[in-house]
Amino acid sequence: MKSKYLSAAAALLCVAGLAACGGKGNGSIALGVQVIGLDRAGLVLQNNGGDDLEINTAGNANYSFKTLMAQDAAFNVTIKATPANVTCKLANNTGKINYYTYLQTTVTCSADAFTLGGSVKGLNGTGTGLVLANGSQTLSVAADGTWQFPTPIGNGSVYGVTVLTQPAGQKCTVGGGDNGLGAGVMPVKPVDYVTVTCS
Amino acid sequence: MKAKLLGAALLAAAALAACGGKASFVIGGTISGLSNSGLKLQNNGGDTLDVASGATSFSFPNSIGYGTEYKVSILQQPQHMACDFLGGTEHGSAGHTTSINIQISCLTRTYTVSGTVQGLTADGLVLVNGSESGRITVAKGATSFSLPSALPVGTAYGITILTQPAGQACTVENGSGVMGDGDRTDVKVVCQ
Repeated sequence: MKSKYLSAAAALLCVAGLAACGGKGNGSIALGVQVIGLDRAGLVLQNNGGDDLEINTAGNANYSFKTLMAQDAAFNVTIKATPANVTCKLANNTGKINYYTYLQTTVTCSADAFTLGGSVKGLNGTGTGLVLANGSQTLSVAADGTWQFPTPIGNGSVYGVTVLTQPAGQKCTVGGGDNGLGAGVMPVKPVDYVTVTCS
Repeated sequence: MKAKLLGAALLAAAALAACGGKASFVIGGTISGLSNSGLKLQNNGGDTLDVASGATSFSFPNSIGYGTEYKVSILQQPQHMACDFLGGTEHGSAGHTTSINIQISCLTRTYTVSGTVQGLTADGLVLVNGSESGRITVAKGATSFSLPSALPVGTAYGITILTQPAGQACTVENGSGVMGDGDRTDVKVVCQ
């Protein structure tokens, strides 16, 4: 019983405190956003068309809009600006704010992905066993010509192609790519210029 | 207090008997992530059970009676994997819950990849393992390097040079392979 009065008094104090510092929006709840997969600066979010929230830190983290909101006020998070060559998607971004919904909005970003590939020459015949790798991604190359790893890679990520298995009786070396050694930083376009030379 | 509990237990037992409640319990449960053969479980140091690769559940052939204690342990781990019980579900007393549900979670074992560096007299060397491990910066004077995280058995790796050190040229030997049951320490980076 006592605690009920106490908590009521505490609530009143809270309200008084907020009013004192003149919080715009007449509220007490900060609207939060979960940002996932962001790898560069330049994301700007808005709530109800304003209150810009600029996020310039890479990584997964939660952020809050500056303006506090009143219980049950409607929120609508939108993306004002996306970093270059990144795609961001919103989810659960509208509703009425309360204890359960204040952090329901998620923004999931990923760097636009492009294919990694190149050419091979000098293989004796077909099916001689050449296997290329980009880290854990592997690709069997049966014959001279072009090749491409099945999974695209986000721009800004590194790549490095190696020979995982040499073809029977031959030795292949990797060159080309963005650094001339079959490696580089994924550009904003497909890489089709990694060269594999076998002899 | 004790008498009260005892009475309740007796009543419960009587009720169970009256409505034909379960008198025997299967010792079993669920398994996640088991993708290799070789897992052998044992109950109370006695009964053993072989669990096949890909299994998502298991049950011991012999059931136990109400109130009987069970304690399942892993007698042998599956190849390349480490399995463990979740939150003490491996032991208890039959009838404590409506059925026995032991939970086992299995993960592929992981091992590190590292190597030696020779002749590195300048800063700027950056290695990569495809697109997985990010940039591995190797400082001037370093004699070794390692990938920042361990790799699961069966995973391919391929270490190449992203950036050469200032004024030097390095090459990688034994830079690629497929992870087996052990750490790889044989990668060689030679700089000139």
